[in-house]
Amino acid sequence: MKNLKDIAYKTLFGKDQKAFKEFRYERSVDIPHIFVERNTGSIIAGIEDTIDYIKRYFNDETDYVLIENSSLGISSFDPVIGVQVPGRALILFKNVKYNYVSTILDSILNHILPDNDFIIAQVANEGLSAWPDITELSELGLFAKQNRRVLKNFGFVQPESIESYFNFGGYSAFAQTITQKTPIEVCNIVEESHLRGRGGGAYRTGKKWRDALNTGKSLKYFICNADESDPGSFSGRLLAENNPHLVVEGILIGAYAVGARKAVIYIRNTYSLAIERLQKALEQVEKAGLCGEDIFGSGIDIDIEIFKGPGAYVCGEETALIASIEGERGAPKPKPPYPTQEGLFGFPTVVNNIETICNVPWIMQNGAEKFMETGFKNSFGTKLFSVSGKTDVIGVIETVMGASVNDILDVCILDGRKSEIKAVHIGGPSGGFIDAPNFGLNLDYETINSSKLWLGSGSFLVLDESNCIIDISKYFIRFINNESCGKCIPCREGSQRLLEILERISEKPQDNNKHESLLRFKGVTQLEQISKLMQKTSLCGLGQNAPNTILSGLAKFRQEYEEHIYERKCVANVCRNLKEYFVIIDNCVGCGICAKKCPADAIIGSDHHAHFIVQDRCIKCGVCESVCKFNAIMVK
Amino acid sequence: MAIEFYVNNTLQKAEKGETILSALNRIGISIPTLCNMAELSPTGACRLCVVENADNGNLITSCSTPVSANLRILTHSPEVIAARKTIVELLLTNHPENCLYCDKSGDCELQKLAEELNIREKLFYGNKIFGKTDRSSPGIVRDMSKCILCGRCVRICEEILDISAIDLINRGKNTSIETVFQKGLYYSDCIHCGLCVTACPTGAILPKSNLNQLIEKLGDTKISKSIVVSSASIADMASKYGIRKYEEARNYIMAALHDIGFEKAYTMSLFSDFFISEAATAILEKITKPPKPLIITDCPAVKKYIQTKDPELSQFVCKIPPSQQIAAKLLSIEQKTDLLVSVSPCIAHKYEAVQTQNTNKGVPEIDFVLTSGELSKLLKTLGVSLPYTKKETPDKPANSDSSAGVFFETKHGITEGIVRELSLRSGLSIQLNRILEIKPEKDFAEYEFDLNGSKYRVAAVYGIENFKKYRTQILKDNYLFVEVRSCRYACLDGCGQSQSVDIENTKRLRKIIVEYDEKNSNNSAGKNPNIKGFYRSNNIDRIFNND
Repeated sequence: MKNLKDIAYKTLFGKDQKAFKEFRYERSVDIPHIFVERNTGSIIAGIEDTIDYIKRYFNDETDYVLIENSSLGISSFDPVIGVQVPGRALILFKNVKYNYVSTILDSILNHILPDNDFIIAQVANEGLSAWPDITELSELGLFAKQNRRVLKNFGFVQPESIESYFNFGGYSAFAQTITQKTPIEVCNIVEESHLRGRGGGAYRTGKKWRDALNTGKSLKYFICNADESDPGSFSGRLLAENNPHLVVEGILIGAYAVGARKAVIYIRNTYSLAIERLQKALEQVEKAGLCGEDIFGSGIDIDIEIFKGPGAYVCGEETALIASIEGERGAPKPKPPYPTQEGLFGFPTVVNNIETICNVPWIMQNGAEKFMETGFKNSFGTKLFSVSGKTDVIGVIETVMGASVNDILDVCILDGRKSEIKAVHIGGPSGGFIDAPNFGLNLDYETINSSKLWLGSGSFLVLDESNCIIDISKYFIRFINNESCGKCIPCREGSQRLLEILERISEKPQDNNKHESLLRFKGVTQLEQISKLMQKTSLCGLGQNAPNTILSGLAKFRQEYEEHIYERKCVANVCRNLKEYFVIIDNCVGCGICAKKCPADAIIGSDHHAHFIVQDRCIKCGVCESVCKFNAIMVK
Repeated sequence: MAIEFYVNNTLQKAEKGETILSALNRIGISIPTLCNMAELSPTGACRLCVVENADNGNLITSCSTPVSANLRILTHSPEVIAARKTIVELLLTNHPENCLYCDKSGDCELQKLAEELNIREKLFYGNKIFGKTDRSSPGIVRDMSKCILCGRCVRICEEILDISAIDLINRGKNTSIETVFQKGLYYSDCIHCGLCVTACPTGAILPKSNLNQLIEKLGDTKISKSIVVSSASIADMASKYGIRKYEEARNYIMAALHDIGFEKAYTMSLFSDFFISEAATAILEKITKPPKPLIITDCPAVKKYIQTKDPELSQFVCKIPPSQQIAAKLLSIEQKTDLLVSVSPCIAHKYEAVQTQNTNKGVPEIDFVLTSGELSKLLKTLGVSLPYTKKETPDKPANSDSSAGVFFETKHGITEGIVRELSLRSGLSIQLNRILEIKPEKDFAEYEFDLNGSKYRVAAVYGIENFKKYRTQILKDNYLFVEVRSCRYACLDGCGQSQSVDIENTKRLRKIIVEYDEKNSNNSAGKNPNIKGFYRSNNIDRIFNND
């Protein structure tokens, strides 16, 4: 390890491309190799226990190697382990809780396949004998339908090892760039590739870089925005946790291109594993001489620092993010001046999303034209989507930019359940709904913008009939209301009023006077009025895009709104507060089963006499209705 | 005038880098705004200054967007009006709406805006978030429920003063403006300069008023009551009620104060004379010692600033108390009085009055400190209107004053007063009422004068921001003394004045005082017979020791 610098130099510039004799999954092994995908998702799913049990299983008696591996990106598979026994191909198992460890290892170490439920796929290779009747990972529908470019090595590269990253061709893009290209050439290549900001702004990255490069100031900053705080989006965490070196390489290229001597990774404080791994990656990179002073004798200095963000949604906005690094309150500032002119501490600053940055090494390696081979209209490359909700697969998938909603649903819904999907909510709190008839919509920036939606950082929430549109809207507006920085009036006051209106229509009126009813009806017209004001006059993207959820919901699910207001009915049975439960005295035989089952002790009555529901105590859970055998519970 | 652009379809010109708002204001189109202030950086918080970009229909904030060539804007299109209206409606929904009980009513920008935009119906209904009220400070009350979070006070405290006693905390609907650890203004670094009071567009930051308690006490015939009125307050009243001459206004006010129940009514100018006299003694002592800057100030805000933010300078500050406290100390010896009221143009004096050194066993020497605005209100409440039917001179010993004591409260007044006094003591007879060529428009001015053949330089600096700016110069340049005050126009634009503190009004007040000064032959503190009498009868040459 002490000669890491020499080895890195040899690997990147010498002919001996395989300078590292570290393990790669294609090779044959002499002792069993166990790969564990350790990341935040799998830690929650219990990988730590699984690792513990694996260690206990071998108990220092058998030789084995335990390797921490990166994630495939599919959280619903967690915890995932991979096993490679001598002579055989790597095989991946899903949902390996600690109690299944011994069963699986017992059989696989004896070359017997365990229960099919655990098997994801195998990774076959020449010279290694494949397992019979097991699908190849790349042929598995879930992965075959994706276009994995940024996520290419995910599942194979080891997040805490720079050698592993070198083995997958890492840092060669940076080495080529810094030795063979001038900064302006890099900016041009990135601009020719039409790479656009993946954080939601969709600004042309190359243009931004060139703007900063052309300012001609000596000190510039390059900031990687990994402050991913929207609910339903976790692609940034996946990138930072599982391939920190990819992030670092992208930052190094970007910083070189804009002439920035200082780069900052702005990451949420709560992403502790990602921070830990990024820190390790930075240490390794410095040891390898890829960062710091005079990189490869080129006279270029680039320092990378990690800044732990306090975790505010608004700090994803670039001016707020810069203010946060400066130690100020994380509130956006009016633009212009743009950060490329006057940013961090008054110096030109480029802020790029982590996903944008992860695209850069690929572009530098494969060229702009190749990047533009995939895409739709003016949006090229690939896009990560964080899929969650009523799907079979929860996790991050990568598709071609401009793939339709249907394409993504095809990837993540395995059987024919697609017809049950009512809507898809894309873009997190700033995004909006797409209803089933519009599932053919291409998710490229132009189409999205013309549909008055927002791609954001690619959250993809799948909703079916058991989801209430008003409830989902209420959730996102409440999020906006809490996370608004409170600076501009339309966003601060507007979101508060929107939330109150939504709450009003999803609850039974407190007293049935005319004024209350009038307010409920007025609410819908006011929703549109306030939403439009917020869109037109808010200071930053947070406020401007906040009402998208409401406006798209109103446009496509107006009926659901009307049902809530006029009939006080929630089809999805989510807005429980709209309902009131009564006992039909004639039907009630006084069996008392409802009173026993009621969790709130809201049903009173004596045996063999009709019971009564105390409305003040009722929590509208509906248990009484489901347990009553005499149809004596009525819902109003 | 480099850039051409179109406003409401007519061609207009603007300078490069000028914001749309300032260009429009110059042209004469008024755009409402609640957060913008000329001397502060634009923040774009209130969004009321939006104008429509005629090319794409976007609404842009005029306060922060610079004019670009061939920009076409509509300033009052239906869409713009609707947006502004909805913004104000949203603000009002979360506002206490208790204008009837609000001290700011009539002077409130939000109220005015609602009227201008013709909001005469309550549109939105919702929960109001009631913020806390901070009453810890003796001078300022901050009622957060009335706050619209425009951030003017925060920016003024940060950008102009660099004190940041208050800042925004929390986010979303819970955003509010608070002091450090929410302990209250009194326990913060606040210097009570009152800039935030003048900046606040609503009634969220107001001077604290004790008027009701005072009125109650005025009815009590068993106690003796005295009042001291500062000359800036007299000038303010004169200008408010259209009285041209200072002495006329003073005499009306004295008579009115006698009639509403004060046995004794004094003017502050006598005590300002004492201040000048004491300061002159201290300076004469200093002349013989090795050079060391001497900061002379009457302003409690400056003293607090030095104490909290720049304690290194404490050693250079002249230890003579402000004239208000001199009044309290001297009157407690000379004229026994049960209730002492002082009228000053600022709220810092309210703060000063409760400081430990100015209290006697915990009881402040001055019972009530009123602002000029409160004095005006007091007279109105008690049915007295100016010009009054009677004229009375101030009571003894304030029946004679020097014009230097009156001039004291205008810009560069302390400097001028002290220089006159020094010249007088060195045996010069002052014929002209101006020794120095006063430059009232300058916030930092240097003067030079002769004393016994040798030349001395003095300086006067106004505004904490300028004090900071010229700090090194003040320390280095070997001035005989430096006058420092926290308000830009000395005491004339104090935040307690009953009228708005714009430049025009301040000039008017200054004119009233300057005219009085020019005519008066009693032009130096030393010429005031009562001052001379006091020192002679007590057989002392100074009251306060500067060491």
